Amino acid sequence: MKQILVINFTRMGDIIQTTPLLEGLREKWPATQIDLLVMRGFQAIAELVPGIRQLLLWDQDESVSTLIRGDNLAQIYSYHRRFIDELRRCEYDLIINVTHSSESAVLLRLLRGREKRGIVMDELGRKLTAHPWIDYFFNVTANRSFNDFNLVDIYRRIGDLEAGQGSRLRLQVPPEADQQARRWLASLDAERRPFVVLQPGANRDNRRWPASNYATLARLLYERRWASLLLIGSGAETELAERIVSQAGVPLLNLAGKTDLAQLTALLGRCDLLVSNDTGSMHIAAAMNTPTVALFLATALPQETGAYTEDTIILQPRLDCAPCSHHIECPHLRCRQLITPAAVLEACDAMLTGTDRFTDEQVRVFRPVYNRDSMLQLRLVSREPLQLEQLTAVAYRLLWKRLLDAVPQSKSAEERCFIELTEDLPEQLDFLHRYDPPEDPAAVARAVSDCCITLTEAESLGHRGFVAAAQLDRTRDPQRLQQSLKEITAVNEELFQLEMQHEFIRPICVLYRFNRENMFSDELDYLAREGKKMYHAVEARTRLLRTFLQELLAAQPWYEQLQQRREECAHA
Amino acid sequence: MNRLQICTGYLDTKLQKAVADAEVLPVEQSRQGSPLVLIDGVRLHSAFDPVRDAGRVVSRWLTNSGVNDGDTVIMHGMGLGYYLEALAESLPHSPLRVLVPDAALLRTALEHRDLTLLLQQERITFHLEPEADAAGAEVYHLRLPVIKQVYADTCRLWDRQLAGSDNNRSLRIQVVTPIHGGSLPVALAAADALRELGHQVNLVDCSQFAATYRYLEERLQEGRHESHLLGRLVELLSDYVLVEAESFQPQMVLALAQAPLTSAALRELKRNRILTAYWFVEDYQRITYWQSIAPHYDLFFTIQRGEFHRQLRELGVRHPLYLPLAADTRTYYPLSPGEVDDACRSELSFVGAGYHNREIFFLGLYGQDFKIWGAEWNPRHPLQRHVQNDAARTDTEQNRQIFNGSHFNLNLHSSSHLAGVDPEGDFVNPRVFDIAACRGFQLVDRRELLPELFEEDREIVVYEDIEDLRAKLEHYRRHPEQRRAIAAAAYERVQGEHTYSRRMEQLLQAAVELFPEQLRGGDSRNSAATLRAALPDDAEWQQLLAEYTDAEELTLSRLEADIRDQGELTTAGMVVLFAAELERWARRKQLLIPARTATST
Repeated sequence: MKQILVINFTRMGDIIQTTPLLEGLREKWPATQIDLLVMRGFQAIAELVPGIRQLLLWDQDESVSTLIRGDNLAQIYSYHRRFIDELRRCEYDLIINVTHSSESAVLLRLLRGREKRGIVMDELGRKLTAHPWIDYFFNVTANRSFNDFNLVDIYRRIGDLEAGQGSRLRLQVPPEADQQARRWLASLDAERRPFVVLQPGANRDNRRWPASNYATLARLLYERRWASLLLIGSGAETELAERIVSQAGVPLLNLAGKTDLAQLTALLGRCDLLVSNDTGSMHIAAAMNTPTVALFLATALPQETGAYTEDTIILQPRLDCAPCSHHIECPHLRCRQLITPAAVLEACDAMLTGTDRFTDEQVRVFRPVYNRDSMLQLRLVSREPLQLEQLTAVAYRLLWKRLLDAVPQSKSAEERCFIELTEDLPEQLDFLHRYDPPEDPAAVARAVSDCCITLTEAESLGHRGFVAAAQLDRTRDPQRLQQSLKEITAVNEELFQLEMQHEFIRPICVLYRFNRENMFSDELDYLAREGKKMYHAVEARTRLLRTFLQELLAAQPWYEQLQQRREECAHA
Repeated sequence: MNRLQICTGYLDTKLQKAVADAEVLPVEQSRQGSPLVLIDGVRLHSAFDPVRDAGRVVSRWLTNSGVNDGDTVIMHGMGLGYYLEALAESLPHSPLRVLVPDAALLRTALEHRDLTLLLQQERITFHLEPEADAAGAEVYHLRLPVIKQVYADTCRLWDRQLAGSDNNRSLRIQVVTPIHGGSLPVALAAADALRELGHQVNLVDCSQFAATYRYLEERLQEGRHESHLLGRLVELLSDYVLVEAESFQPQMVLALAQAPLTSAALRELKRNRILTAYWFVEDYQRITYWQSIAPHYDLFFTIQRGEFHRQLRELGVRHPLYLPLAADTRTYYPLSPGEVDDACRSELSFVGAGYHNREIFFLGLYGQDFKIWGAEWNPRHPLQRHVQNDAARTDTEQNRQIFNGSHFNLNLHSSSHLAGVDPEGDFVNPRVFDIAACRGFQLVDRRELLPELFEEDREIVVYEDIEDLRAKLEHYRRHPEQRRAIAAAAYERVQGEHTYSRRMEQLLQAAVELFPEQLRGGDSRNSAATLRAALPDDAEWQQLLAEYTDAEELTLSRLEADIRDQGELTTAGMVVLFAAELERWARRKQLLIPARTATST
């Protein structure tokens, strides 16, 4: 492996979240040169990414301008052709594209690479995915609530990194930026420590904790914790920052709109704590080893986009609707009001002094920890009763960790896999035991049992599909072939129905559909071979998921009590 | 040197070679002794007198086309030279370009007729396909009907090539159909015709909602909710038309009568500089909703004029335009006798709904071999014995059979209050064209606008009242050969002048004259020729554009669709796909089109 290209056409936070992948690839293949391709708008942050041979840029704005200003098609074509020809000069051993967009799929097809991971457009213009964790990556969008992996870990798995490779976010600061940061900090009252940075902005309004709350928090930190306070934000957020300064009524060094990204990174690296919404600054702080308190509001999903570090506390409103879907327009935004400045102050105390005291029952508090596979996982530190969602999330985590890359092909392999997985169980049970017993244990037990019924149905459909695909493989009798194809169609239809009716089973079904859509030949042998694999995967995954769920349930102390009570009742 | 060699010397080298390689077609003699040629069973000239027949075809075209001596004429097709001789004689100073459908035909003409006098004239040239500058305002096209029949594909190709050439550049047109009703087939035929002319058409087929509309209509039965809810459906469809327009980016939206478009939607289209045209194919006196919609359109086409246009102008319609109906030649065409179902044969036939005037008028034919087809005939009326299939509605296939299977096709324009022929009837119904397109013999009631469409007694027979009809039936019963000649002449007239392709040409010609900037855009930034010339050294780019005629206007989405159709992708193709994806993204983000305001009120 000599040359690798990583493409990320998303935003600042995602680019920072790509840094462990880049570092891990370097650790895996120390002699490899790595190029990074991002959109020109994010050049500033990409320049802070260490260890890159060449930073390649796509000027999306200029690309779109050629369309908006009405260039003729030859000019549009020439512009894009030049850009693509430039990229095609290098032949890579591996290209990894961690972007969802269709244009990136076309681009991936155009680039020269021996191996390509990401969505790739094939020669007939269809979009194919090319790695199980890329499939999963797309699955996350469709099934956010069942994903328990941090995006960084998903990227790491896309890069086939081993445990321990690419273990943290990294950014490097140029010396001039660091000098400027030091000058700013020197202007603060040196007697007042800690230095706490507030980042009140966010890319969407609904993800913004109210300015008045930030002002109150600033006052509390200043008056009760003897802190020096700094405000950061983009040029577009200066007005918001000024509002906070005037409402807080305490000294605040307002740097909103005054820092460039390098200076901001240096500054965050030299401060003691950042309080932020789910923003790029949060990831920068994590990359600079600065502790953070992060507020995840509205659609923000901490399991997926939380900072990749143990040095953070994540606050989330304890509402049934949180986090909400990207597709809704919330009429009340209660989640923005639910977290009080006092609750955030408690989190700041926990980060600064180690006092783990969370008294507000309306706020869900997580602290991430690296588990034994060196993957990040959110651990609940506030109190709330266990629900079905936590059980299924853990069951899915166990399933994907080993069953995404390879599906066991024999009964004994499956048993081995199960034994391996049970090694993870104590740790996972520990995560679950941080929850209080459910308010209605019988209801949770019933819900698990319903899930298991659905899983059994899907398992038998997987089996039927497998048998039909195997039949395709064996017979050349037209009538029997037709029968098999009919059966496959029926199985697909029923699986789809199951997927629509039971949200819980969607991750498995969606993955199965991705695989099906990725089939590139109509040739019978190929269909039979791939069909067998796919249906077997459905069968094995649903069977194992059911077993895990049952295991997890059985290992709950409250479930044991419930069973005991049931038995007593039966005896009586 | 033989005659052929001498003659071919006047042709360009490409044609010389083609003629030299072509074989000679078998030739017959007309009764006058002049040669004539038969292709696929069709004679290209009259078997009786090819010279006189060609003279008639040409002189009729001269009258209708408005061509003057000196104007350039392109003749679409040729026979053995008779048509060309007639044309050259009538227009002694006009440049004449002959499109040759088949080199064998030209060779046969050169072998069997002495055309040297024509060939010697520099103004007369022969071509296998239209030249790049072949279209233009001062260019006239003589489309020979019989050639259109025999060489249909070639003629269509020429039309496409011409549509792509400069003055008639390919346009992007969105056609909106009504939800149901008589103008629906007109809309579909118009869309097909536009496509045939080489334009890019996006058909918004509202008839897909017919079941919903009917369901609501039946369930609500004129209750107080009916108009409100049906109005909402119209608003929904209107919005849908806008959504389609947003992605298709038409230069013009053509709506057919009853198409569901609200005034708010029309305003929105205008705001996006999309031209709006309406073809009101209804009787303005009977159906009056035009009063509320006409002022909202840039172009308002009607099948009536005179008083109607005066009233439209009074309403503020700046451009009321007359555009008669036409024949749907994809549906209506001659059948051989063996193809006609016995049930559809009769001496007299009538196809249409049982309107008041028809019930009274046709009593005058009671007892004859007369079949009446169509719905809404009163079951208790004495004519019931003539009404077929329990007055079931006929479909187009049945109509085709009936028009082909009847000796006399009767046509009587409907009226719900008069007793027979409407003395003030003006417009011409579609049946006039459809019967003619089946080469059926037709007797039709007198209409003010008929004479300019068909020549009375030569192409169509007109009656004034029932006595007149009976007398004419009597006459033509005795003269079947006259019937055949009249039907054939009407058929030719339809093929040459009354197809939907011709109508759409006329519609677009009017639109371009009135709104040249909107439809021509002033430049040809994205014509295939411009695009090719921009990157002459990029072989892949050239290959990508190879299939398009010079003047074809291209867009990213069109290129993308064609690239995907071609299968295997080149790098240039992928680059276009990349840009097209980006364009879609930009459009989603509303970067390319101004954000729309709500259109429902």
